[in-house]
Formats: sequence, C-alpha cells, structure tokens
Amino acid sequence: MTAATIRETVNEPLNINEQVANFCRARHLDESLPGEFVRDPISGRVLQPVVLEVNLSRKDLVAIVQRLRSGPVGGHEATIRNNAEAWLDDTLADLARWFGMTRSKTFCEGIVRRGEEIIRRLEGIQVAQSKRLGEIERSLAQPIREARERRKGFGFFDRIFRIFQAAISISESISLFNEREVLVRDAEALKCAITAITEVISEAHYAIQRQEVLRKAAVEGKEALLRPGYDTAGIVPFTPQHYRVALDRFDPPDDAVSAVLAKVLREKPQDEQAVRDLVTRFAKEEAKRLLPLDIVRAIEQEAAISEAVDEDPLVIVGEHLLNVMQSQPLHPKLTGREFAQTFCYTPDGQPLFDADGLQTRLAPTPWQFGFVQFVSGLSLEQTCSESAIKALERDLRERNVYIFEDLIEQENVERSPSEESAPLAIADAAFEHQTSGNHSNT
Amino acid sequence: MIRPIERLSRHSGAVRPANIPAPNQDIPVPKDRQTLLIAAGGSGREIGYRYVTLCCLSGTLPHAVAIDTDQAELAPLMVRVGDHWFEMPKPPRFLLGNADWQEAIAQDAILRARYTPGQGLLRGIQAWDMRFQALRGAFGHPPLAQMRIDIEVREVADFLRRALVEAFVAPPQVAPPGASDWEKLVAARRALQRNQEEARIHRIVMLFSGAGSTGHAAGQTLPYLLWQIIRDLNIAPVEMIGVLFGPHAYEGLTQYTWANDAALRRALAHRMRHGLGKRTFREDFEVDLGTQVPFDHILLIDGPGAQSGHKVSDVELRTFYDQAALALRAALQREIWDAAIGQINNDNLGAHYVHIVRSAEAFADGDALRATLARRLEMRVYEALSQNDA
Repeated sequence: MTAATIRETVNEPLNINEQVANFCRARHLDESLPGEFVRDPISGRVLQPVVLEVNLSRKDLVAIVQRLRSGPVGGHEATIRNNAEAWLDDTLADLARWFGMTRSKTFCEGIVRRGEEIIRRLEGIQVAQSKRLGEIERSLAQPIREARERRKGFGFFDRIFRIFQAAISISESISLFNEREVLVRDAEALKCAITAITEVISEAHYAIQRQEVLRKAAVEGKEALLRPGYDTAGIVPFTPQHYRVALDRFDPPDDAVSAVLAKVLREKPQDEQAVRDLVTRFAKEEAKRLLPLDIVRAIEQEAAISEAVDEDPLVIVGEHLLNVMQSQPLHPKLTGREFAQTFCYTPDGQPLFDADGLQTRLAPTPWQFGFVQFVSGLSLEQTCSESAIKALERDLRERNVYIFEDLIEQENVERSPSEESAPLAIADAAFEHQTSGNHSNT
Repeated sequence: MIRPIERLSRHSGAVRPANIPAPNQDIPVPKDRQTLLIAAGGSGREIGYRYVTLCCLSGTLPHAVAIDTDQAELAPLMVRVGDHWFEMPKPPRFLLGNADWQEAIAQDAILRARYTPGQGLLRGIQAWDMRFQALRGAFGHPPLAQMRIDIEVREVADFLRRALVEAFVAPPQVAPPGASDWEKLVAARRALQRNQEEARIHRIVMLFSGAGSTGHAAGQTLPYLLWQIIRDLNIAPVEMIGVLFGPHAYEGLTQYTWANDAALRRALAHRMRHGLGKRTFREDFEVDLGTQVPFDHILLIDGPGAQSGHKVSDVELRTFYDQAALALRAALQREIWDAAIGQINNDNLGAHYVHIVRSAEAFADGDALRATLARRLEMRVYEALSQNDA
C-alpha cells in the first residue's frame, strides 16, 4: 500500500503530487496507455493481428505471396481509435472533476508536466517502432522485387521458388510478416495515445491559463442563477392538476457535473460570456439526458430522493387521484340504474393498476396520467334537484325564465288548470325517481 | 358581514417580463383540426380558455371561439412550451350588444312581438335590468341575453360560420404553379393524409351553464345556427357535444341561479326529446331542423358549491373552472371519448340521457423539470469553477 493510499484511507488530504499520481494511475496516463487501446472494448482481450503459420499448404503459399507483396493487413485501427476517443472523453470528464475538486491550478500543472513526460517517452518508443517497421518492410520487399525483376513472365510457382532462394527463408518471411502486423497495431495505438494525451495537456493548459476567466464566469453565473425569477421570469404557469411532480430536490450526479465541465473545457471559451453560454447549453443537454422518460419514472425518482416509504409511490399517487375524483360531487339523487365507466390514462397506454372496472387508455403526452369517469343513465330532468324546480316555479310566478315562446306556452298549458305548481309535460315520469335533497355522492 | 381583504398575491399571469412573446404569437403546438370549441357566457369562456390551455400542454390546440354579453377580459394564463413562455391566446370572442336594441326591436316585427318590455318573454323583467346598453351583461335574465342574440343573429351566424370554416374546412392543398413532379407528389400525399384525417368525426363542443343568462340562451339558440351552417357547408360527420356546468358551482352568484338552471334543463330536455323544430329569426331568417336534436351528447360537470355561507367564493369558483377544464380535457381526449361513447351507444341510451364527468390528473411539466435540472447542474458547475484558486 502506497503512502498516498494509506493517507487516503485515513481521510487525510492528499498533496497535489499525490493527487496527480492518483489521477494518472486511475486513467493509465503512463507508458501502458497504448496497451489499453489495443483491447476489445467488450471482452477486454488484446486485439490479435493476422498471424501466418509456418506449416504451409499450397493454398497458404498463394496467400503469403499475395500478402507479402502488399502492405500490412492491420484491421484494428477503427477499434483502436474508438477506444482512444472513449478514453479521452472519460479522462477529460475526470480531469474536469478533479480540477473542480482540487481547487488548484497546481493540479493541472502537475498533469501537464506528467503528460509531457509521457509523450516524450512514447515518442521515443514510436521512433524505435518506426525504425523496426522500416527494416521489416525492406527485408520483405527485397526478395520479391528481385524475383520479379529476374523472372518476368515466369509462372507463379517459379516466383515462390525464387523467394525460397532469396536472402531470407520462407519461415523468416512469415515471422517478419507477423511482427509487422503487431508493430502496425501498436504503432496505431501509440499514435492515438500521443494525440489523446496532447489533448489532455491542452485542456489542462487551458484551465491554467483561463482560470481567472472561468472563475469570473462562475461568480457571475451563480449570481444570475440566484436572481429571483431567473428561470421562470417570475411567472407561475397554469398547472391546475391534482398532483404535480417536482424534482427541485433532485441533485444531479457528480458525473453529470463533470461531463458539463469537460465539454466546456474542451470548447476552450475565451471570455466569461462564452463560458456561461457554454455552461447553459451543455447543462441543458445533460439535463435532457438525465430527465426521466415519463411521469411514471418521474414520480418514482421523486419518491427515491424523498423520505422513504414502504409502498409503491405509483399506488400512493394513484389512490390519491382516485380519491380526488370520487370525492367530486354527482349531485343528482342517483336512481341506482346508472352505470359508470372509469378510465385510467397512462404514458404508454399500458395498465398501471389492476382494479375491477378500470379501463386503460393512452395519455396525450408521457407527462400525464390520471382518471376520468363517466356516470351515465340519468336523463336531464333527473339531474334537476327538487329545490331548483321549486325555485323555478316560484320565479315563474314573477318573471319569465324561458327564452322560447313555445316553451312558455307549454308551461302555461300545464299551469292553466290551477295556479299551483305543476311539472311540465317534458319533466314527467323522470321526477318520480327524484327524492328530496340535492347533494349526494356515490 | 363585510370581510376586509387582508392579503394580496400576484396573479399568475400578471407578471409580464419583456422576453415573453406577444399574446398573438403562434404557439409551436400542432392544431387539432377535428375539434371546434364554442364557449358561451362568462363561465363557458373561463373554462374554455383553461381547456384550450390544458390541450396546449397536452400537445394539440383545438380551434376555439367564444360568445358573451360581458366585455370583461379573462385573466391571462401562461404556458411554457420548450424553453419559451407564452401567454395563451384567448379564443376570439363575439361580444353581443353592439347593436342599438331599442332601434332594432322597433324596426322588426318578430322582435317587437317577442321583446315588448314587461310582456311575453320579458315578463317580470325590470326596466332597470334592460338598461344594460352601457354596462353590458344580461343581469342573470336569459330572455335578455336571448334578445341580444336575436337582434344580432345574422352577425352571430357569420361568426359561427367563420369558426366552422377555419376549424374544419382546410384550404385546398395544391402544388404551387411550376411545382416539380416531386412537389406535386408530396402535395397529393399531404392532401390524401388530410382527407384520411378528416374522415374522423368533427366534434363541436359547446360549453355553457344554465345558471346565468348568456350561456343559458346560447346553449339553446346556437345549436339552431350551428346545425344550419353545418348543413350549408356540408360538413360531415359531425358530433355535437354540449357541456353543461353547474348549478352548485355557481351557488349564490345570483338570486336566479337555481331557477335559471332548472329552466334550461327542462327546455333542453324538451328539445332533446322532440327535436329543435322550426325557428324564425329577424328579417325572415328561418331555420327548420325538424327532429334534429341540439346535441348528440350532453356532459354535466358540477362543483361542490359554497363550502361556507350561501355564496361560492372567487377562489372556489376558480377552482371549479380549473377542475371543469381538467375533466373536460380528460373526457374529450380521443382515445377515451371514443371508448366511452362506444359503450354508451352499445347500451342504447337516448340522446336525452346525460353523462356526469369527474376526473383527477397527475402531471409533470417535462420542460420545467428539464429547466430545473439544467439550472441545478449549472449551479453545480459554477460552484466547481468558482472554488478554484487563481
């Protein structure tokens, strides 16, 4: 266990050099980095180049000649470049995180020094690799060229025969071929490593040189955010729904913060306003990525960051909504012949709840779920309360309430036998079902 | 008892910073070309405006118009679409009462017969209540609102005709002159898609209450005009949905609340059973609809009434408007409406049967949540950056 690890274990603050060392170790920022790029991203195994075997068949001989005549086969370049890009993204995000944590440009200076030192070493390896590759190319090219020049017009097997008679043997040629493939693969990894480390150094340089710009932008940005009504412009939106998801307490994960910081640093903004614009832009992008997909996940996320409860948060919210809906008045005295249809609309149209008589339908947007109920089977007359009918008949003695003459006439016809209140013909048998009281719920 | 006002709070739509687009700016939400909303009267307008706003939050904008005798403006509602705030545009309104009613009545025999002060339709209505020329409104007397509609019936019909055309009769989709073959193909394809969409039922949703005056009168008279215009324009298929609010939600607002509402229900029930029949308006404008019923379906939405005292408070009224709009939006969403009406039709219920609607909804404003997350992230990034020493 190193001294730095021991101090880390006992929560003693690390000095900058130790932090730099930790960062480099975590990100393989050393000579082993090219080796990290020649691994399969899924299995983690080292990418194997094309290899020729010594025990050759006639068919293999044809393959050898064709391959020796052309350049290296390679084939892992795309994977190596992808690995390098992924490493760079992660490392820059990490750098941004460490830069944020260490609160010091000394950290970045340490990274620059270390990076430059590694690049020097890698470049040394690159020179040696390049030299060796040149030797192999020459060794492989010479016998073939000679054979071609001497025996133009000769047959295929004659040319192979010439190779056997050349300065190197067939087994040596195969060995050189195999070595060249390994070197080509490693050279690509080396090149990518140098490019990526250069980018990390450039980033760290930027952080050192523009630290004051970044700091000022941060102070101004914070002040702006804390200004009342920054986000909503002081507006209260129209949201009369019975349950509204709020993620005000949701704290974005450190990774998201690092990702935004890394993207900003990569853009290398030159002034405070540019920094703030980038922070806003990348924060919005990252927020979109973090945002739950629909209201169901949003409720679950809200519940996860709040006080723990044993029950399913969706059931709690669903029961609340059902209670709200069922407490809304039906008012007319029900006859018992009515029927209700209750629908639950959900973000994907799939059932959220199991309940007898509950039908599920698709909500207009993924951000809504709710219940709606139709109670049918009442005629219009049955929805008139007795007190309302009495009020109407009382009023009709003093003023007209109807707007069409035919209805007044009909009313008069109904009333003519006596001046006592009598229901209109239109409000006939239905009122038999009416009983006193006008406020009733089911 | 007179209660003093103790506390003020800023209305949600009252704050209007410079960066809010003008109210008439188009909100980037697709139009619902299958639904026309007609909001009548004060409460119809309030609920209609909320309904349209909720539809906007749900991703579509129905075409909406309003008719009223009261010139009071609705309080604005604000919505957030994407990263921008918008003041929800209010449905265009036909304000009844522009014509000189005394002169109009004097010049037309039908109107004279109907609206002789103190007689017939105006029996028992005080002279003072008829002097609403300057103040507007119909003072809770449905016959007064009806008189206004009768006087301006042609203008009202023109207003409704325009609304129906704008809502349902889309401009012909033809390729522009000199269009390439590709552009012609695209235009033809779009026209085909539109035709397929238009094969769905055109819904006309009329919002009104019976407790007041304008909604009460419009709820009975506008169906005459609407069905006639639908026939003239050959719009089919059409589903006319009446949405009746109250009366408990308006408890105590006027002394006529209960009587007006009961009268509307009786009158409407009569028309639903026997059809609209014939109606003659001024200047020999006659509509004969025979057994056509005013509405294919009637929905009822009511509130709990006054929680204390005999009159609902402004807060209770606003809460009801919100709730009614939510219930309406939930009930009228196509998936649910089609399923519910399918079941009702299966049960062979006559049109005079009504449907009480109740609802409750949970909502997450995705744009607002994203903005909140972005803001917290920004703050965290700034904290990280500002803590570094120079």
